[in-house]
Amino acid sequence: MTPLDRDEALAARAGGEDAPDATPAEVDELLDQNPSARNELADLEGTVRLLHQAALPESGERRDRVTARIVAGRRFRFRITAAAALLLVAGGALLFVTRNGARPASDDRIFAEVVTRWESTTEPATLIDELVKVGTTNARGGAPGFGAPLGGEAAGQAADDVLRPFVAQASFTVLTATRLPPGSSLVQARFRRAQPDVRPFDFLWLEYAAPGGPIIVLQAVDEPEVRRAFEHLSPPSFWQTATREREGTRAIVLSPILTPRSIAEAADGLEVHSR
Amino acid sequence: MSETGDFAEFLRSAERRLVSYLHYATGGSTDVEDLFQDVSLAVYRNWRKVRRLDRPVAWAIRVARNLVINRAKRATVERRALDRERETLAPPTLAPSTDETHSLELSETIHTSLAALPEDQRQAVCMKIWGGLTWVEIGKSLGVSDDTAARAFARGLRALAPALKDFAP
Repeated sequence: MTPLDRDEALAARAGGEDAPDATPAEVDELLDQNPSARNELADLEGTVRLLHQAALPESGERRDRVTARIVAGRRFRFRITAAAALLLVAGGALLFVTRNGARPASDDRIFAEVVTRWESTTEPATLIDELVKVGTTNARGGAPGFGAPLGGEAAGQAADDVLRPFVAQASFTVLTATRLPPGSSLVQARFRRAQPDVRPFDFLWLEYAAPGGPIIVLQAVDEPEVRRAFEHLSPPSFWQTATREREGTRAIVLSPILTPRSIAEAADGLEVHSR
Repeated sequence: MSETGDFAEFLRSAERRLVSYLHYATGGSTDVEDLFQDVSLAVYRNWRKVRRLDRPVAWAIRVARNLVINRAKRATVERRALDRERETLAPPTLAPSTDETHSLELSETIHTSLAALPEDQRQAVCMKIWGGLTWVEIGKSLGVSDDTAARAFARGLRALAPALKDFAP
């Protein structure tokens, strides 16, 4: 019998389980052939009995304690989970109400949606078309109204400080919007001030492609007329506005006093299209 | 039987094995009940899976062994300090009976002898004697073959036998 066989046979007998690689008969045969192994087995079996004897006693009290703790832990975890779920639901509801109910949709969000829609369209359309669609509910004079978009509801928070003074004093109605072929960056639209005592003005919409997205600059063609009509409303510095555009923010700038050239100078590096 | 009832029955049947295994695998640590609770909790959390196993107790013993290993890694220094603290605790006010003395001495001798064994032999003895695992289960837990596990058990017993011989009736 090799030492390994002997250990395996002894383990099988002392451990009360068949040897991994031998049948009980084979183990018996191996032990019978080796009397010293039989003697050692007797010692090992005695050792096993002592080890079993040293096993800790059962304890219903201990078991009950552990079970109670587990159940208590389960209840605690359930409460924590329920509380967390409740907080999540409440937070979600609060967020929903905040975004959709308690607080009106922000101008810049509406404007961003309009721009996104405009950018993704495959039809020859301009941003002004999209803005008109948004603002048609405020149509005046039988034409698609541009009053609502410019009214601060959809014109964009970014340009609000520029647009609000105009809108506060006058509303505009889109008369025509000249559609140019796709890819053109210049759209000319004709506006007429709604007030009957003021004649229409011509405006140029200059579109700039900037890293942060399109920047639309509304530039008055008839500068003297516009200046006279709006000079008391004009923001103090359109240069600042133009400079801010260079940072890539999407904005509409209504500029009654700047020429395309001056805007180009301000928006250094941006391609300016005009005609 | 309900799942909770099944679990309670399992705990009742496995408690002695688990506690004895933990007791000797940790060298008689005072936090055996905490470890037993951790094992029970692990079984409880996985009960839907564990209850379908052929031998859930083998799964529990493996969890117990992992906890013992983690505990040893995590708090070797702390455990030594706690053990020293335990040794200095006031002795029982009542002298133990002869039987109790015999049991305590046997237990201490087993702890001492087990501590002197190589890890694989100590684990093989603990898992076989108190955990009731099979050679295959022991081998799986130790990462060795079943016959290697059996040999480690035999060698462990052989090393323990001389120290325990005096306790034989």
